[in-house]
Amino acid sequence: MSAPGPAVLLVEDDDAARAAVATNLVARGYRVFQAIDGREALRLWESSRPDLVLLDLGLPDIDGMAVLVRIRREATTPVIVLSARGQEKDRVDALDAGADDYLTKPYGLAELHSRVGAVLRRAVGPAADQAGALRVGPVTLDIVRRAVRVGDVPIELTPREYELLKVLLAHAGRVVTSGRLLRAVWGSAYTEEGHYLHVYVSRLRRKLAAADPTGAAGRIIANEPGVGYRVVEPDAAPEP
Amino acid sequence: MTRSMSAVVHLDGPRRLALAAVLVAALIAGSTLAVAALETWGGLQDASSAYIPAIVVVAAALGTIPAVAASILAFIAYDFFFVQPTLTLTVATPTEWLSLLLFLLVAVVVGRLTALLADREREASQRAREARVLFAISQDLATAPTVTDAIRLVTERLRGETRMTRVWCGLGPTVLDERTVADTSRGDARPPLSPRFVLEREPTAVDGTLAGAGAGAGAGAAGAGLAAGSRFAWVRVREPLPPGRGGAEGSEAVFRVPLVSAGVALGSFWASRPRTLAPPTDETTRFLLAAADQIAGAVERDRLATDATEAEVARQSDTLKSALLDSVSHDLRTPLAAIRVAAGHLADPQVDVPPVATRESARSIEREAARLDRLVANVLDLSRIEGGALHPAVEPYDLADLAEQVVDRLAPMLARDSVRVEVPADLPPVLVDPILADQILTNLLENAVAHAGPDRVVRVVAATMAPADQRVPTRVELVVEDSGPGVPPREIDHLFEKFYRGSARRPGGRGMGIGLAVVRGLVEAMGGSVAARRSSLGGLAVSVVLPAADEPVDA
Repeated sequence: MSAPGPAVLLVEDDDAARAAVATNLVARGYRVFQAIDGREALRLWESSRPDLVLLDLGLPDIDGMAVLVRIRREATTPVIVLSARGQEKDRVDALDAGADDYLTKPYGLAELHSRVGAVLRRAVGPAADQAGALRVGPVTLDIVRRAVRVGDVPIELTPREYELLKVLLAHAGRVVTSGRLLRAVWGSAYTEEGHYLHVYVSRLRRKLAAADPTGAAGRIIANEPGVGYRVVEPDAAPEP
Repeated sequence: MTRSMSAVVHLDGPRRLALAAVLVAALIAGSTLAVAALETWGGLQDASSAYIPAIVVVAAALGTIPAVAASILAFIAYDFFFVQPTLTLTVATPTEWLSLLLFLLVAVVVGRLTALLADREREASQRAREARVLFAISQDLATAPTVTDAIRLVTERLRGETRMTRVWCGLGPTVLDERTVADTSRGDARPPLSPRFVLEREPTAVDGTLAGAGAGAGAGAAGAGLAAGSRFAWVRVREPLPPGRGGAEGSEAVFRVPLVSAGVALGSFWASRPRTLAPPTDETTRFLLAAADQIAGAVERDRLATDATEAEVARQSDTLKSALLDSVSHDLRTPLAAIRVAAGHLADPQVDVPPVATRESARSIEREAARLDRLVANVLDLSRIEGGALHPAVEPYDLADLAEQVVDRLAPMLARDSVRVEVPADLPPVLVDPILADQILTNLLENAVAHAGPDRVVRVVAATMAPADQRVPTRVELVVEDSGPGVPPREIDHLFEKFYRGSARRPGGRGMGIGLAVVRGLVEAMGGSVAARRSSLGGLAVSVVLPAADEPVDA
């Protein structure tokens, strides 16, 4: 334990699940604050100002959503929501309320660390490099020139496709809800028109795939069923 | 076939004609004798009016045409016997001619009027009868507890009212698929099929008579008339027969009235009677048609009601299933999440786990696996309780042993809780299935520990319930109570309902709301009962009352 690692506030009402996650995070060098309910979570949030919050939505006293809203009012601290399957609605609500990502129970540790890493990286620096380019796998998006390349092959995108790819790449590693994508690319009048998105995403995937003989570029946009999309490194296969 | 039909139509015509002829002849002969007596001894010049009563009788009994015939006969008889020259048809003077023709005119007019009057009366009484029968049919349909009962009543009633030998009703989309729901005879639902007639409705009224008009080759209309403004006709058909029902024609003519509601065929109303009888009268046809219409309406309403009920049952069952799925999804995944993370920790290449921590993780996995096992056991028990597949094998069992065993097993879960077991040494054994009893106490303890609040006190108490009446067998009460915040009084009654989790999630609350439902199911399966009340510790007290076993008698 040389340099103190990032501080994580872990909010989970189930003793066993909380202890297991905390044990691993501590072993990985994080400083962990544990809360078993919403009140304790807010108290620890005030006193410790963690770098990251892992928040279970189903809390015994106050709703996890209320905790999230309270945190968002005060800071942009990354929040990853923990929820059980079958609660897609809650997940989308949480993401719309400002959560950075979510994990579905029972999640694996590899998944947990990949999400934690992604949100912490985003928190420390801008997504684009000094040259103003967003890069994931073979795909490069040059914000200054509004140009997209796969490897060295330039590809033609419509303005909508370009905006879509830009928003997704800017949040690389993190989920972006359909509503947020629609708002960012089409405007707020289109937030219920999910089918636009499916069509554009599949077109974008085809264009990216066509420019890359390995097919890797076509796989950087992953579906998050019921929630939205996430750009992933093509070699980082999602957890089964 | 048209030929044999017309034979059927007129078969009882000649007999009726002969009877009418005899009646007319007798009445005119009698009247002739009366005229002779009046003219001979009564001194009347012209007593031809004495024929009028006879003509009135004929008109009333037989109608206009026999009355006219009787008038003509009376005219001839009077001319023959009483007009000069007598015993010839010759008439001597024009005055005699005039008086004879006047007599004929009066006779025909009186006969016609009388016949009309009689027709009206017959018609009125027929209407009254029809109204009465139709009303009775609607009464049957309205008051019978089920549609099938109603149809049974209606078939019996129609057999009596229409002089059919047999009336029955089949329901099904086609004639071949029909299932007989009511039959006035106990025999085979379908006689070997015989000439068959189907009642065809012609909703577009055409002026004039319908009768046999338009009946093509192979189809002869055997009757026609008006019913409630719509025309109908019996049309002879060759419908497909159910397998094994063809063959020789029977002695019965079969009549079928389709049951139709909103254009959908629902079944048929059937009637049969000997082929030798005349075709059904319009009245009979109207009865059959009205009954068929009313039954079709009732069947349709019943079907709609059944559909609605089934939809409601399906909806409720879906709600139940999704509640179960939600619960299973949430509550089975929570221990699974802990297991997965703890195992992942042991396998984490970036972490060097010291032996003590390894043991702690392994213990946590073990503990959570046991919790998962208890949840699975509850889900399975619930399905066995619901499916009626629970068969407890009861035997005398000691509650103190049971409590000790369950508390020992749950020790890892109870680490920080204080569980007090107070079972008196002289408590009689209870009659339980040991495996189910274990599950009951496990659920109760798990529930109590989860809700014990900051004091974390849980108490298990057992006591004999002294019977007030010697005939009532002794029972034993087992109470598991906790020091938590308890349950609001209005929710206490719902605690044993499936998936009931309380209005507010209580601190530390977890579980899918089936633990207590399983407790009740298991206890009741063993002849016991459950109840919940406020505990003196502050929280909830769940009481389980079980039958005591007879004390073993040690000699």
